[in-house]
Amino acid sequence: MANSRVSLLLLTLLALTLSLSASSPSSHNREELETPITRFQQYLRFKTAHPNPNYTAPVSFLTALAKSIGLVTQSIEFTPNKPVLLVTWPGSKPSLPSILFNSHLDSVPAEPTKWLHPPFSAVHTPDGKIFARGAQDDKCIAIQYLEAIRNLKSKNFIPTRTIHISYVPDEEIGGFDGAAKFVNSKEFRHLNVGFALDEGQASVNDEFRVFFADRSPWNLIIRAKGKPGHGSRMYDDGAMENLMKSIEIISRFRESQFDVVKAGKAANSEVISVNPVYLKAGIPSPTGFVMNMQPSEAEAGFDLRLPPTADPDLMKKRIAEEWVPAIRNMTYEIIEKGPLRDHMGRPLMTAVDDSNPWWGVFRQAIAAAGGKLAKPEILLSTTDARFIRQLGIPVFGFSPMTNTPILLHDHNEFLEDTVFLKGIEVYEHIISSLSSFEEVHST
Amino acid sequence: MDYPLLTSFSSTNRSLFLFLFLFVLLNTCLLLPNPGVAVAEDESSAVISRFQQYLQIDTAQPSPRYQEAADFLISQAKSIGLESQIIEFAVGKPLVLLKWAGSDPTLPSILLYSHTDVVPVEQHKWAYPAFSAQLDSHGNIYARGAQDMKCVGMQYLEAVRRLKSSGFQPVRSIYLCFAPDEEINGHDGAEKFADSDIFKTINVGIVLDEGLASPTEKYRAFYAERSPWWLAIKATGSPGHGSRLYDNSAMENLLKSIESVRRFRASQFDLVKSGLKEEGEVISVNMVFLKAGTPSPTGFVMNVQPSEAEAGFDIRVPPTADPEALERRIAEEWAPVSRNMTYEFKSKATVYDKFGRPLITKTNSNPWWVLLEEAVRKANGKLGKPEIFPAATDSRHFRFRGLPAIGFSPMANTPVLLHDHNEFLNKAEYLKGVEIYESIIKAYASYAEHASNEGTKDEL
Ligand SMILES: [Zn+2]
Ligand SMILES: [Zn+2]
Repeated sequence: MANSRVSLLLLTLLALTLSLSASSPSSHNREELETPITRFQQYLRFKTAHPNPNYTAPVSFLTALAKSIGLVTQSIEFTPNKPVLLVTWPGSKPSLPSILFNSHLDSVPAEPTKWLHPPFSAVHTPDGKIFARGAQDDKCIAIQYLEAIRNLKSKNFIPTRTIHISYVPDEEIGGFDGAAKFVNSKEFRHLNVGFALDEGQASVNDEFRVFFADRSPWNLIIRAKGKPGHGSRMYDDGAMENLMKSIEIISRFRESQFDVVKAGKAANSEVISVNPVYLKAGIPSPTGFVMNMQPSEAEAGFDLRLPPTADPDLMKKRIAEEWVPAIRNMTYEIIEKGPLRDHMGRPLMTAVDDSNPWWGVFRQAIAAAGGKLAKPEILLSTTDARFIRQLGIPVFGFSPMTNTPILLHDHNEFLEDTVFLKGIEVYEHIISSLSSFEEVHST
Repeated sequence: MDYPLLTSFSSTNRSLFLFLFLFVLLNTCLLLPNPGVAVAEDESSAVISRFQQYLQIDTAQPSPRYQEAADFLISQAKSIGLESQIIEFAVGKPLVLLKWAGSDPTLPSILLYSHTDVVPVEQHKWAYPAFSAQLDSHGNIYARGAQDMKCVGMQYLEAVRRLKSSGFQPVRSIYLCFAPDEEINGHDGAEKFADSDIFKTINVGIVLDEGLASPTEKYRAFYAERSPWWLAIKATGSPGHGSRLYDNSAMENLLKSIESVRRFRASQFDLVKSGLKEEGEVISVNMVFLKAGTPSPTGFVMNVQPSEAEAGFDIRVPPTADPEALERRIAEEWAPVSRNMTYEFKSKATVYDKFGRPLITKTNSNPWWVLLEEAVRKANGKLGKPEIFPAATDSRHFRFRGLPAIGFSPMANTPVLLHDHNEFLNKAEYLKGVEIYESIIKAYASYAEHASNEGTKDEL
């Protein structure tokens, strides 16, 4: 990766030297070198992958970029070394609730050996693809927000509502030191956010996708106890036996949910998913495990996802009574990774009908940009949007990427330059429509 | 033996204690003046105290005090007047071999076999220190090894001591072998011994080895044992985010196999539960480990479905089962290639002897079995029907070489406590066992029919 960086630098120098020697004005050439695409590439090259994301450098970069457009910036650390960058474009009527555009700074790790190009090199191939970890998730929208504002400014557009952009850390590890702390801060309250957009997902066809809810993740750990015994003895109620009974019941439930999806009756994200993520039992030995002792403890871990339409209390009852009954010497632990209900006790979802005036404005903006919108969806996993929704603020998940394979968290994540540029245009329409929408809105 | 069993406490045992207590009380009150009884009591208390001395030597794995045990056994042999030698097939692991020469050295000998090591203890779960050999008010002697199998080793010696002092002269030579490491597979003990030149020269015709306690009044005798197959199955599949539902994940593939294994296990267990088969007659399969997941500093990564998942099973195969059919079942149902599964045997004991015959000691048409039955009866004992030992013992090393071996530990009316907490044997049962062995050794050592030619030996 160091090598490719050096060669890029050399190429840049070479290009400069050539242009200088050609005695054309260097400033013009430098302008040509600085494009939305190159700024996207620069942002993609920051190594923001977990477990050691570099937050300082990208925040400086974004700050400089925002300032160059004439926006106000503020960096806040709710947790040391985990900055939140807030960029503001003041509106003409600051008393109206503002519009927030959120994106996260961090990315998931990459295995370079499985990539065609180094994951933090942001190689732009002749066929227009920009390869990088974060190209889809979600560094594209981070730059698109700013580029859209740059264009609107150059067209002398003046927003009525104030526009905010937030860049938050740690989304990929739960957002607890990022968005969760940010939305609960007095700084956030002062923003008086009326509506927000956060990341969405790529679309494999020509329709843009919009997400009105996340599924809430639970970590479920089940533990069985039983009499230990020699490996040759068959007896009832061993820990393994007890654990397997539970796992089989959970597997049946998983199948029933999956069958609904397979039958086309529901989307993947509309059912309760439950997937085993670990199994642990046995007495360790120098060569692996003791093969002639039945252990007295066994445990398994599951990743459970609840759509906002699911009843969490009913789920808890099912777990306690059917999946992990105490009568079989079982115990369990549920770790709820995030909120299930908003501050009013309502399911965490944003309305996608006339009851939500932002929905109409958003839909019209997409149409004005010449785009088509798919049926609103629930996101398969989670984003920071849930923390904002918890405050009762409507949020859509949206990343303008059509005709793009879904590669977030995958090897060879890329985005096509034309798709990226089209996204800027789409955001211009969205920002101008949302910020001009004056109807009194109560949250 | 390599086997911990149930903790069920037999009520027969309690009434027996009561009976014995009253019996002893009567004896003490009415018959104490009789000098003959006093002598008998002195003698039995000496027998018990020698048993306790042996039990007090801590020979628990993984650091058994073998040398101390060997010194004690050699001193016993000297006091009885037996020839003795110590053989070390592995450094620090002495095997004690004692001999009482018979009058006809051309006849194959009798091997009275026992192991000197015991399994470890969790002392906090015991009522008495596990190497104190505490005698309680019911006459129970508590110690690790009280059932498995220091009782048998000392009973052989006591029986020989009494036969010798009674003037009995064996026709066949009698060997007593005290071997190390049975509890850790017998590789440096019985296995090397059975392979040795010394073993060839002592020309063994029949082996007696450990059996199991019996909660009823009938002693138990074992003609075979189940072979351990230690199986690990492994599934691979594409990894994925924890939120995604997809088919053919490693976890799903493994869990399907485990379900299949569990159905088989239930079918075998049902045969035992319904009384149609004994425990040793079915194929047992028990899960011993599960391993899957991406480790994290706090446990496991909770949002990634792993690309590998493994499970381990302890399978026990009786010699009456069809091992080829079982292996086919493993390959086709438990770890099928079609589900992206592989399997591996961590260990796989044969169910055949070196001549390709099932690892079984015959019961009918076997004079040694018949002699054992008669001898037990003569000593007023009862014998249950022949059984397959559910786990592994050192007998397999002898049966593998085509020798008859009978698993027998004379403990009736006794809960099966080997490898369990608070292992004990009642003093009266122990003394009764000495009489049983006296009767057996007498019968075996006097059996003069020449059975050393190959054809006849095969019949044994
Ligand atoms: Zn993301
Ligand atoms: Zn044993």
